[in-house]
Amino acid sequence: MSGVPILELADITVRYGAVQALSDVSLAVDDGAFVGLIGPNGAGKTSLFNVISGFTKPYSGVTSFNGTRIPRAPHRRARLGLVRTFQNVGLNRSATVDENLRAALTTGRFQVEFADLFGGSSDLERRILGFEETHQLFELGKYRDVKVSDLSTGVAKMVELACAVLRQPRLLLLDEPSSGLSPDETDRLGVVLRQLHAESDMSILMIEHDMPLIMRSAEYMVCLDFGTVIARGTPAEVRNNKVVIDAYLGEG
Amino acid sequence: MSITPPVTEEVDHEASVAAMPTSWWRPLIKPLILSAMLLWWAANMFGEDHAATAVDAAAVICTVCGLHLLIQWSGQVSLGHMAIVGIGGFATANLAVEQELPLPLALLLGGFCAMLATVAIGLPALRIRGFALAITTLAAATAVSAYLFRQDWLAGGSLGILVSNSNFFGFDSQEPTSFVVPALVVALIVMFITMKIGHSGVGNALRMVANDDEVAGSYGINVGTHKLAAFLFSGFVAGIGGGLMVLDLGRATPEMFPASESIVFVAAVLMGGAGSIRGPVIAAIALVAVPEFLDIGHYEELVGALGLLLAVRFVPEGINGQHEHMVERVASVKAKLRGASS
Repeated sequence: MSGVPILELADITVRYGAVQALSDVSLAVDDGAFVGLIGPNGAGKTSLFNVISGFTKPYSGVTSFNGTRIPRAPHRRARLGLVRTFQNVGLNRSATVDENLRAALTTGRFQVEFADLFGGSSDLERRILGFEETHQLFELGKYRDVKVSDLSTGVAKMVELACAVLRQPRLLLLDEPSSGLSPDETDRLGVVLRQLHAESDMSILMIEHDMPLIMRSAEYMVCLDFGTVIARGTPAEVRNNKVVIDAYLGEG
Repeated sequence: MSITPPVTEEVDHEASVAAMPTSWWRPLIKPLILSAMLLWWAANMFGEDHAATAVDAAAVICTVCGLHLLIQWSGQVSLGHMAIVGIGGFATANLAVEQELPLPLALLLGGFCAMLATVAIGLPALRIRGFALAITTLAAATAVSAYLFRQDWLAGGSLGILVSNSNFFGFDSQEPTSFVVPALVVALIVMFITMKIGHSGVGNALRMVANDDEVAGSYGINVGTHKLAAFLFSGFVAGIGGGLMVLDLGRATPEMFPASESIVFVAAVLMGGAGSIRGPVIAAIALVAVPEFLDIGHYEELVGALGLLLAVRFVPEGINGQHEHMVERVASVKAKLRGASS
């Protein structure tokens, strides 16, 4: 692994009219790292994700990926390997699970889409996980032909994660993957995330409210409040940080 | 960089969508045989009237395939597609008469002209969606009919353009019993290409775009390019449809392309329902054939509008939805029979 961070944000400021959602946020994700992003609601976590994935143009600041500045168009960032999930499940809800997985495999660059048009395989072997392996890892076998709109939130979130993994992320951005999940499903999610992180070289940046999940999974944590970074460090350091306890965790 | 998944359940490889076919030509055998039978039947069994109806249907099928891709797959809309059909028709006529191009080439280039014309509609579509887009396409179509189709350089004045050449690959384009064969071949090719696009990554990407711009962007899909490409494809095949109509009649006049008849295309797409092109193609054939068989002549618009109203009220999922229900019912009956016999 090189010393260059996979993602580096320098002095990101985001304004919506008079509201300043993010003020001079700087953050780096090392190549291969698992970073957790915590903070109270409205702290600017999702705004930061929208800056990283190119949906929001920051008022000021620089986003670099793998040591270089990157174009802002979301699809171009995605093609670099910046893959994200959404809080409210970014899937085609009227399509089945397999149709969604297949869309994840066959869309993106025009070459990939057209390779599929003529019946060829679109470099499936280069992928971290194959189609069937993904099915097994995420235990989606029995939902193949079920429409996403008929799935429980927990399963739908797993499908979204599976779609994200099929897209060969260099950096996986997870926006509250455990919201709407049962305790069992959250445990399972933790196992899958740790396995993915351990056995591939993808980096992960995860927004999460479930403290046990993030404490067990992340190697490094960042806490946001009112659009600024109020603490950063190892999970233990952040958990015992006085400022974080006051702003977010509470005495407990 | 490989992950060993937990071996929990056996994998049904046949059910896998990602499984690649063993040879690319095998799935083509059945459609090719069916197409050959259809063409032989069309060439030998059709009388003058029915052949003319079949040529009309071929033209409408071309247009409807493109519009289905635009509306059902890419999630956009065009309420004035007859204007595009007309541009394709006039372009084909001009290329055949003024440039004296062979008719098949004029037809193809006419399609390209119509495709370029859709850029004018497609570009605003990158900024607006839904209701605003629908109205914009309607306005553009009305403007084209009212202005462009009255210009002598395009529409040839009050008599329109007469195409005297009628040699289409050796078939007589102005003799329906002869022209029905190449017209149906063109329609089959358009259907085949549309179907391939629908099954490919391009189709998947279009459906992602229709579903959600942001999610599609995060999949690496260039949303703008895909929206525009959907317009361009629908414009191209609509132009081909217009060209077929012009070659069939041997002339091009503004009255052949009334903007109000765009409703027929939209009706076919909505009656067809979401999903494969099977539904809209069946609907297109019905919308052309029903007025002919009922002998009510040029009441396509009325039949289209009525069909649309009835479909929205009674079969909101369209022909595709009905087909799915039927397949499910047949499967359940089969399962019951199997259960009873064992």
